[in-house]
Amino acid sequence: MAGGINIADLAGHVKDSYEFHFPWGHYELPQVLQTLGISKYVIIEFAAAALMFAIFIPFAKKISGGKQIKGRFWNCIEVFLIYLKDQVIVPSIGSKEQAAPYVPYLWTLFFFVLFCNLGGLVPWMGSPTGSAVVTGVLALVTLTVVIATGIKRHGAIGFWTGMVPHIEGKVGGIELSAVLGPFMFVLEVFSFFVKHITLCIRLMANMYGGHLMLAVFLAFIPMAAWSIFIWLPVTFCVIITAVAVNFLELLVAFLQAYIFTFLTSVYIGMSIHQH
Amino acid sequence: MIRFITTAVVLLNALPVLAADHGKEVSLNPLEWASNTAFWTFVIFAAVCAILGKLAFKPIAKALDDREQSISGQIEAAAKANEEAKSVLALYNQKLDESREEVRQIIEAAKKDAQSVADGIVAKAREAAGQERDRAMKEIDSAATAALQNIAERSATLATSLAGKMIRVEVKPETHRDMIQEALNGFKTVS
Repeated sequence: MAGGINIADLAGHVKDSYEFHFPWGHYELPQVLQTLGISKYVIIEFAAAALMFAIFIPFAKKISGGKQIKGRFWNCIEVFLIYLKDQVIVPSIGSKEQAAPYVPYLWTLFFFVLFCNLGGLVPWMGSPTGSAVVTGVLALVTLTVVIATGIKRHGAIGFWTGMVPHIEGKVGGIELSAVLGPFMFVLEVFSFFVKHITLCIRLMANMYGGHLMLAVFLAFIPMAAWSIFIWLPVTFCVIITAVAVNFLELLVAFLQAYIFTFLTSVYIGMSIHQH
Repeated sequence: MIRFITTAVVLLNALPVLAADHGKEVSLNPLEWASNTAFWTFVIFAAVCAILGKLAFKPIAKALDDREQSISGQIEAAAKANEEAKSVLALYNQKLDESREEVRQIIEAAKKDAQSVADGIVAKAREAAGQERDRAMKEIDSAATAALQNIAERSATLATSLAGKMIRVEVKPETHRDMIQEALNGFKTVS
């Protein structure tokens, strides 16, 4: 507690709940939604999904048959799609043919994460990707896709054993690969799962950390409220900083969506092209 | 007052940080598990993947591939047309060079023909002039000869007549002719 403000309270907006908090009051979700387990973050995810439907289904109709897209907004969307496909997905996975089946999934992943990230910049909403539950589910889906890709490509046994790199050389007449192989296998499998856990943690930490930092900055305002001479400069500086941090958060929202998609592409590529 | 302004500033900054649930203890642990959120996240994400994959992203990927192929086809066609244009240009230049050479040869041949025609004309003119000159010379010679013969005959006749008058001897025509002939022969020998 400081100046009557609890940091935990200030950070409340980065937590999931069954309420939307507005300046004029709290709006509690209907009981039926609560019974179904539909929380604030779930509603924001629904909104992100609806936004994606509203953008990409008309876009698909406009571009069908290879037609030229007109309009700044649609061109902007096209730039995102083409950039992700040609500069991120295809180079990470390997060839255009190998990447083709994963392009729709990775586009969906990018825009879903992006819109969830941007939800945190909408007043009184929140960022579902600031929760390890949401990012964990997304990482779990990616893990499933990666394992399924690897098994389809190399077989159930080949995928797991293929994680161990071949080691040349002998020690005392015994192949090094035979000696180090089991250790390497454990290490590689552990590393494989850790990669996906970090995928979850990285996104969550960035989104959560940004909002928490904003909350801490804003907490300085009530903390300085005991004197008008301190409060005024502090408020001014905090507002400037908060605006700057909001812009930073905007960048982070795009950057983290990009990183999540990029790493997912890399992991899929690694499951196709093993050691 | 200050508290009121503080609240207003925070809210105007579009961040509802003061809107947290004050009635409960808010945990700051972001790793807190919530099965309902996990379930709905999975459902929503899977539904978005399935629906958008079918209705949007696969058609979009296909449309982009179609357009890419179309553009690459157009680029290939443009490159091919460019190559064709280059070959046509080379052929045109070659034909132009050949035409220039042909024109040069034609002009040269024409010059040669003109020169030979001119030479022929000059030669003919010279020949004609030479023949004319020869003919004139011959005419002059024959005229001169005739004139000399005439003079000689007259002179001989006159001399004979004069000599006859002087010696009072009538000279017979045959004698007269022989004397003229003799005088002419002597004249020819002198000339």
